[in-house]
Amino acid sequence: MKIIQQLYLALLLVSTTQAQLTAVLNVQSNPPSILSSWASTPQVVTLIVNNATQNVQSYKIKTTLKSTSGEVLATTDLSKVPTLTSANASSMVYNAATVLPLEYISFTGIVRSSMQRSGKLPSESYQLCIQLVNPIDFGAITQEQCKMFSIANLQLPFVVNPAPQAMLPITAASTAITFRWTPLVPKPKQSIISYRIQVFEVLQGQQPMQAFRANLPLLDHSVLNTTQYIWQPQLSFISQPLVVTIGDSSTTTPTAIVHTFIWTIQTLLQNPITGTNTPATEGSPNGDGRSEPQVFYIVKPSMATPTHK
Amino acid sequence: MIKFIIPLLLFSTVALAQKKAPITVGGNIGAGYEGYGLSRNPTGWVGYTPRRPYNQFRFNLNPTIQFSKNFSLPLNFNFVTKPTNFAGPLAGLGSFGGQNFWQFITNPTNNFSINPKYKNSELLLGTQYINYSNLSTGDVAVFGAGVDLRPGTYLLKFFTGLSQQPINYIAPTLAPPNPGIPGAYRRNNWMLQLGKEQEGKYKVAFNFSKGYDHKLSLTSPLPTTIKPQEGFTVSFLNNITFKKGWFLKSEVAQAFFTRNTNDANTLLVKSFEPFIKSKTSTIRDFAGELAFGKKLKTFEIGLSSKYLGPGFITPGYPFMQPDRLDYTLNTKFTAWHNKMNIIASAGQRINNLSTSSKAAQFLGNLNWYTQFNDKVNLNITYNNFGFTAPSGTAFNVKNVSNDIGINPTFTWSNTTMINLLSISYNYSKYDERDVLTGLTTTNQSHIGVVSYVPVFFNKKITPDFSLMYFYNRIPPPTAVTTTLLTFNAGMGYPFPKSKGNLKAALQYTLASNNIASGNNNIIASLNVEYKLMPKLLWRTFLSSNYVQYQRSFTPSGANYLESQYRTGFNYSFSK
Repeated sequence: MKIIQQLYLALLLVSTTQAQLTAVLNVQSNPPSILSSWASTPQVVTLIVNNATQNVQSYKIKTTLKSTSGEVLATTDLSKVPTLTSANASSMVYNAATVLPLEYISFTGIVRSSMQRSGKLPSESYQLCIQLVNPIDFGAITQEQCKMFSIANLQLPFVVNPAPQAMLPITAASTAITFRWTPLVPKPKQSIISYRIQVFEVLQGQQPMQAFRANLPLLDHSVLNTTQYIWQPQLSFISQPLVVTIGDSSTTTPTAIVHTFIWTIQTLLQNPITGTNTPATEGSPNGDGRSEPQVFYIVKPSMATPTHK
Repeated sequence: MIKFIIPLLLFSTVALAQKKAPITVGGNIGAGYEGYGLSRNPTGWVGYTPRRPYNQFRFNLNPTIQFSKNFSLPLNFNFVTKPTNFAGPLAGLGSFGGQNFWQFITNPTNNFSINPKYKNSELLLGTQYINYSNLSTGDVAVFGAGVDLRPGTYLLKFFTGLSQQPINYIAPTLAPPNPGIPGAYRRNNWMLQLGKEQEGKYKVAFNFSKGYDHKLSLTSPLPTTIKPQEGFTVSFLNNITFKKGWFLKSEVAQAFFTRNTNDANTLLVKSFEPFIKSKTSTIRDFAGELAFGKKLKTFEIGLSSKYLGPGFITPGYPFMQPDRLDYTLNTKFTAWHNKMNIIASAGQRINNLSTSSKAAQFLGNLNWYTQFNDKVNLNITYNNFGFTAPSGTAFNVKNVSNDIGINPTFTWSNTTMINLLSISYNYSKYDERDVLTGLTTTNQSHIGVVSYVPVFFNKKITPDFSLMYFYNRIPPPTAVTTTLLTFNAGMGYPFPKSKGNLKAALQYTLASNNIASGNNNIIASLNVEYKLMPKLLWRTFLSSNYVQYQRSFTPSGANYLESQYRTGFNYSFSK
């Protein structure tokens, strides 16, 4: 009889808690693909837990990542996730660090492999589902609620023209140099893409990467949504002596390098409402949106420096 | 580290004690001033921004002290008085009091290194760009100490030091507008190579490279976007040259990278202790490179490929973009009694390999040079580039570029002079699809250049002239047409008794486009090198760049004058 009474009281408590503890989940529709970065960006995931009771309530958050068809791709280990508490008549706001604690999540299948290799979710649509559960027996306190989101793995541009190690004739390059690069793909929705082209001069004795990190750019220009820019260098190329002579005996076109440049594209996403630019950090190893810089040379063909016969 | 340094210093002392030949000094030292000026009109117009520091002093001290046949001490001290960092964590530091002493020493602008060398073994001290292989380390300047030892055919290389000084975070402000400083943690690197090499025959080596940030190196407030990171890479490379010109080069690498070392531990990625312990932001991926082919004097062919997994991030190449596969077929050969030289390559790059939105690039190049006789030669170039990728819209990305160039050169002479005339024409077509509308714009460029160089037998003056026409048209809706007409005249003159030389050039460009027509640009430059003493060279360079926009430009009558002045002395210890 005593056991039945206790069971009845426990069921009453759970049903009361269910009625009084509510949760509201919000997930950005296009969050970053790097899952570990969600924790440091509070607006990616927000969970508001409202405790309308007069008692302190304890619970755990059961989080499940599902495909759009409902297949479970990741789920929290409820035996390990910390127990949370809400004071009476209060609301708690949690973000991804609490809702999606990566150290307590088990991934399966292709998502597991992708997380191990790149830390990213593959480019797909997903559902993030949460449910508040009892910390003792993991019984449901609230209904499961899910939010859809899509992942687009961005690939930064690659510089194309001038090609890496390209040699541009001095006569044409002193007037105009055409730069081309691949676009940022896929194109992020709700953003204007600003490509900031930067060209650095490699001074004598400098390594190209040293020039890139140390010098002021000779060109720092932004273009919107296009992948070509024609630069008029407005430079004199007579100042530096011929640094390196290239071409071997089997080559009948030996040339001399008179200038070396290193260039890159910094991709910025422009917020169409505020107009502010932020670097496209996705796909950027350095997080500054800069593509892998490449070197090109201004050369003087040997025919331009003839010798007496 | 001390274990390495002390034996080498003792080793150096012994080498010094045994010297018999006099000490000699080679290399050079130099110092120079660089001035820059920019005058813009109307006052307040900022349509053109400065692109060099206004005042800069540059010092290059590169002597090599040769103590004996086998022992030398190369010094390499290159530094400037004003930091000009633009890309990287040091950018913007000037507006907050500038760099401290250690930031100056380790600034990428400056090099301070001493590399005592005994036979083919080196002690490496100071700033070093250590390049072990294409996948392990090669792009990072590290200030520290290490060795490059080659006992017999074995390789033992090690270096450790600091690649980034800590820079505290400073929040951006709106008034006065200042972007602030994003901040950077102190980063240390070490790298190790163990292997065996016989030059011209083979090289096998294991490479290890690690970079790690010190979490406690910054004071509060901590950076908002920059996190302390850690990376470790191990690779194995294998280069073999076979008989009859065949070669094989390969490297495989495994990289571990933690985006934020403050994250919690995880078992998802297996730790590789003691080198790296896995956190929830740790990733582990591999990369590989393979090239093989045949290289003879008149014929060369090779196939090269490179794969970088989506999580292959290595601290030794911080800008390397992962998640791609490149492969290229290269060939080069000469024919027609060495008068025809053809270089060609074709390849493909596939990006975003790990996702469903793969992007493919095709790259093809051809350079065909023919020397018909002593008077006529012809160079033909062709470059093709294509890029396709899903865009997330109804239309895929599709950009295609085609460039062709034809460049005949004529030479003729008489009893007093040789004449060189070079004519080149380039046509470039670039198709770019708008992924929202599906419309493709075709951007076309025509470039024509005529160069003439007379060389007089009895005169020391060497003039050269060139005329260039550049036309670029982007069709509607952008509808931009750019035309440039450039005339360039140059002159060289050697001073008597081989005292030096003088070069001068004048370039005028008439530029027009939809916004402004008839813009004028004049660039005048002068470069003088004069030997004040047999070993002391004085170099001076002057350049001015004046641009005058026409009335249709906004603001009306805008113009700017950019000037550059460099002067410096260089003393060469060599004869």
